[in-house]
Amino acid sequence: MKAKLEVKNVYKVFLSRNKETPALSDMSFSIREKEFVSVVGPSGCGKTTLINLVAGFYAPTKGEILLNDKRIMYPGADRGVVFQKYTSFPWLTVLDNIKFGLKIINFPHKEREKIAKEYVKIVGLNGFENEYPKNLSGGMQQRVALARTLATNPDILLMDEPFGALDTQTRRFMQDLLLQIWKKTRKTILFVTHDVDEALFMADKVLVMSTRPGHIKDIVDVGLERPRNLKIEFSNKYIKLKEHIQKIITKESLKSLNEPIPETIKQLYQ
Amino acid sequence: MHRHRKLHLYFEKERKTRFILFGILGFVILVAIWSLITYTGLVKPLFLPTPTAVLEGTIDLFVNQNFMNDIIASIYRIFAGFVIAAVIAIPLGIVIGISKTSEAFVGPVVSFVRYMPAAAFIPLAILWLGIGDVEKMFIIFIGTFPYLTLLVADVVMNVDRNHINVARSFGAKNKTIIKEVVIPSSLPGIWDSLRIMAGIGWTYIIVAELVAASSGIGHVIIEAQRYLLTSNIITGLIVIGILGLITDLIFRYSYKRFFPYSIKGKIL
Repeated sequence: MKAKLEVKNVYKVFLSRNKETPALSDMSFSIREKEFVSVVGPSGCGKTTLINLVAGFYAPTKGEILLNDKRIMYPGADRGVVFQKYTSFPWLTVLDNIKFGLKIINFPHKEREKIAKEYVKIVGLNGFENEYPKNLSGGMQQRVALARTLATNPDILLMDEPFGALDTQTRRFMQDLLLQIWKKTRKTILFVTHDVDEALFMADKVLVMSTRPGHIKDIVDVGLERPRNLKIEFSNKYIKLKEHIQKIITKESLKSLNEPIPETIKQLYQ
Repeated sequence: MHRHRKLHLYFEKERKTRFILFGILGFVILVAIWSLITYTGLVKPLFLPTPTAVLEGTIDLFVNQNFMNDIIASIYRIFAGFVIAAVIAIPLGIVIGISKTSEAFVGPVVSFVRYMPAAAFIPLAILWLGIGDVEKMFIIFIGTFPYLTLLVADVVMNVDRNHINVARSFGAKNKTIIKEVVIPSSLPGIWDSLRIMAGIGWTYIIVAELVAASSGIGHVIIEAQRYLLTSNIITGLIVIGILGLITDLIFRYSYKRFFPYSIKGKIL
């Protein structure tokens, strides 16, 4: 099958106060249509940089990123971004928040309402259409953000630790909700997380990143049956995969830790 | 749940009553102290007349000396001067807040003017514009415009970057981002800046009227000083206080009406 998104030998170096900080170094991977791909890696490995590059917020220092064989140059509604921070606009109601993207892309006025209402239903916010975000919990605000992104019908969803700020229970519920939506809409999803469990539970494929400057250390085919449920987290296959990924991440984390670690702790990681 | 809500409403109501009670209590204490030191003869009436004397003087001012016209004159000047300041300061502040270049261009000039006390402009203003309404408006303008501009710029600079990124992710261009994110996001803060600067405006109008005027609250106060009518000075001060309070209330009330989504409110 053809690649939907292709990241080809991408380098990203940030410049600040005459200091060069390499964030990504020779990163390459591709995602197929309708694939759910997670990205995990040690903290500060450039996961968010990757999302921002694909979103088009800034350009790679070297290399290129292709979406449907077209080089990504600018931000655009063909990519839908869901951020980690709660980003619902406080001055807009839930319904108007969801309509926001449609307004930006100049979608016909009359249909905005219809589409927005559809997505209110999909994310289960019926009855909250006219509430302001201040009256919503973190999980609900993230659902608004998700609906707002989905409403413009992007080609690919870019999710940057979208459930990172939520408590464990809400997070689990959001994962199930996202999987259901994914099943229904069959979007291509690039999902960044620092949580190995979350990555495995959701994805078809897990990209494991190295420490900064980030590149792909390993690509893990998950191959667990769908629909996913709590049970798979106790299957042998899952546990093996998790061990494998966790080992890489721990090893990579150790490389980048700037603080001294006691020898006794280091031995634990050998 | 139901019980909880009722309880919540009870506390909410109690909080409001308490708020009003404390608000009144402050004034009661003030008047009590005033009465105590004047009725007992502790302070001479020339320096501080009794509350009754002030009340009588106030009635006389309104009935026989057209004090209402002076009040209206002051309100008119401050309103006009402040509206002009706001109309220029808000767009300018937004521009400064948005772009680094314009900040470099306008920012230092605005800050420079800001450090000059508005009162020091009065002689110049009289020279240029006479002692009529326009001169007063000019002083109000000079006194509030630079601050307002910088306050608005600051509000705009603090717009949540994440909100801007959301708009950008949909491919929004700068003009759209300003219209759909920067401005709506800044409005509550701008409204608050207006509220604060309107209060300052009251200070400047009185200063301007004290120096040279043929009408206005400040004029009444300075006339009273000339004829040693201390009670009229007190009346003038009280009226300014009340007008300031009303201005503040209007801003606060309209804030709640305009921005029902705002999370700003009680901290404890």
